[in-house]
Amino acid sequence: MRELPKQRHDDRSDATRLEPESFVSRRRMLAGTVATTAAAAVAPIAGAAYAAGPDVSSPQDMMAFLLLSAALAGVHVVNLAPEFSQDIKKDILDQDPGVDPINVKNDYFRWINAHDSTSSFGKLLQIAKDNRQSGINIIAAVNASDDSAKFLARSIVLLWYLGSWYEPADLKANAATPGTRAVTPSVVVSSKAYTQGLVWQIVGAHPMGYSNLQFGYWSRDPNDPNDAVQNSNFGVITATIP
Amino acid sequence: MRFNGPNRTELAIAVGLIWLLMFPAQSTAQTAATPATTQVGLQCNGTRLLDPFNGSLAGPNLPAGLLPIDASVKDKILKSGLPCQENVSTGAQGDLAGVESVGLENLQRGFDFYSWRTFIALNSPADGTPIDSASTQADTPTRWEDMNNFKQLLDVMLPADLQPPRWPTDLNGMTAERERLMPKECRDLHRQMPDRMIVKMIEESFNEPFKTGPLIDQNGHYAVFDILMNRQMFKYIMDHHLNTKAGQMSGANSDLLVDFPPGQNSGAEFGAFMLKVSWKILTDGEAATKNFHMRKALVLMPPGADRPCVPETLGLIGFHAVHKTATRPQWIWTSFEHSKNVPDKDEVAASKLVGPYNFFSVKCQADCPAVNATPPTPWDPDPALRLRFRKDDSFKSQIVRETPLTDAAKNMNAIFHNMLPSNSVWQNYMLISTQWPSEFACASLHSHVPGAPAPGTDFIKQPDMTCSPAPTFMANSTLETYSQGDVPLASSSCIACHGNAVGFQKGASAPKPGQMHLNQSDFTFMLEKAQ
Repeated sequence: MRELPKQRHDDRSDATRLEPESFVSRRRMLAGTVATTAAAAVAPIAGAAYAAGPDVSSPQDMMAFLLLSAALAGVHVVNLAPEFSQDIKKDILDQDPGVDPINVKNDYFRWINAHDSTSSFGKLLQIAKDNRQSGINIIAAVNASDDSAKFLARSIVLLWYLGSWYEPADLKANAATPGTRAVTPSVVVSSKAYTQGLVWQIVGAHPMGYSNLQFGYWSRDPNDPNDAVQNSNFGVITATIP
Repeated sequence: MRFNGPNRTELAIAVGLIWLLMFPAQSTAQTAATPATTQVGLQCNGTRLLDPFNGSLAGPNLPAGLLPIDASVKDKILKSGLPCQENVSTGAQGDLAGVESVGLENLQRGFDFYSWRTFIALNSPADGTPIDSASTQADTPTRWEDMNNFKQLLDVMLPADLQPPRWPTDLNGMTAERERLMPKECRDLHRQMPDRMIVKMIEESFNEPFKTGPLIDQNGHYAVFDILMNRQMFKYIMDHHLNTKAGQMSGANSDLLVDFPPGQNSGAEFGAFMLKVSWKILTDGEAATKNFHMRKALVLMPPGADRPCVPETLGLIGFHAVHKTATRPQWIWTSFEHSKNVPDKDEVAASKLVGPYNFFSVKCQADCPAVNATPPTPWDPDPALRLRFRKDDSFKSQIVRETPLTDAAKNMNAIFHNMLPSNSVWQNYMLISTQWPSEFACASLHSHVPGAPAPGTDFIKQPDMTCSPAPTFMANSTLETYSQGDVPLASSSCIACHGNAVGFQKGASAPKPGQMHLNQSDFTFMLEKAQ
């Protein structure tokens, strides 16, 4: 097995190797759940933990946000939080989400929190916490939620993919009368967000005016983001959620 | 073909003479040859040396009781020599208590420790004495200024009508090569002042990256930039005939993936190393303060109808050290500068100025240039004015630092300053930061494709070679003055910018399946200077 990315951080020969973080697979998520069945079985009332609102500095809230985002967007947690390193001995919510140089996840968390006028963000995070063992269950629970939560979830997906914020109310209006709006208004969250849209990473392209891609990249076939054999830099990016 | 490093005999000699190798006999590049035994260039130390400091450095204050650093620890660090490779970890450093709360901060701390060790090693006296010896003065030649250790880029990329560059291993040979490449405009002065360093200017010696303009000090003089390489880099360039345009464009190089040798602890391999330095022209009064590492030099002005060679005293104001290592194929980018170059933007806003600064006037009120503004054109030096920007000194740069140093960098600076003698000129230099590739799902691809050219950099499946530099942006106020900030692609990022570097190799007009035809030059713009 090839050396995993995280292991290359540490050049010490005697360093304790962390559990590979690159693949937050369903197997690992389920394994983590075994140890926490009791906790999961006693699910708290949705939203009850968020009287004070979601807290970006809370690792549990951030992990819930990452699990929610991974389920909704269909990508690995590690693609949303590159420095995330999983310890399977711990509940997934007790993991360290990590800090990376770009750290766009924190920006997104704060943005959503500030722009959620319906207190739905807390509900969604609670759904992720309650269903942390299964991305499918997270999706199902979101779909079973009220419109405020569902359209906020849609905004979150668009935020990750496009780096732009679409107001849930606009998305809802657009869904109610599809095709009647020429343009759904949106705002680019930040210059950082502009560069970090998942859409660019997955299709192997770049937004206008910004590219770190290797000179001559256009002369080669793009990576298949799900092709682990080719050593895609994303691993199997969309395999977390079937 | 790769640089194979020393053979067994050479290694045996190297091991036997390790002390001498780490502190080579002086053969200063810009001084007349002296009858001294010469070693084959600077060597690195492959022994892991971890940051031994107790406590977290990421906070606003140094841990209580950390200073002063124990004398034995200080001695070990200051005399440890040049690290062959970074020694970093997501966890604690050498002292288990020396741990930050975030993995990224631990890694950054490891890199910053590496950077300071590198700075100390390269700026230790060329004659082999330690940097903290009493004899070390502001004008003591350093190891990187020794012609046995580093070579100026313009002495490698020679005009086509000159014989190719050489880098002999004996002092007489090096001296002869230096004399061969002595500009005719400087020869008379060189005879009169044979000990002076030679700085040859081209446009890149005064115009900042992306041709954003020159930097003008508070005396109205240009800042002067210079680029150098080590022997390992030189050897790779010569082995592959990359020192000329014709060589780069030759059929033999059509499939070459430029891939400089990496440094690594194993085998104490130095690897490729680049330097970019910035100098300030010192007045007699400034030289007398001894606040700068300074060298007397003959500065050859940029090409033109008239190209004077000007005797000046230069003070070091900026220092980029760039090292390719086995685990950092995007290289490690270390940046130091003089602490009195510019104030931070926040310090200006809060009127917490402690001048005078080299590139900012604290007295200037309404009539000063806009902050961080490029100078008015024309930018080219006027030979008649030598290295003054304007005859009436009507423009002086008003520069501030856009991104203040992190607390961690400030604390690392405080620790190393504490280890240096209080009167050391190196007290006046501070680490800005160290940029390194942080995304290892990306960086780790560099050595996993079977058959990849040695030492294994391929990136065939990695279109983004930058691998998420940390920090994302980094600028030296003297070397990336006009591209400071945090605007993606527009603001200075060493790795992101150098990831676009190319040479003159032929492009992928008819790519063969499975073969790369990229114009990549392995993160260096040096190859663009081939003639």
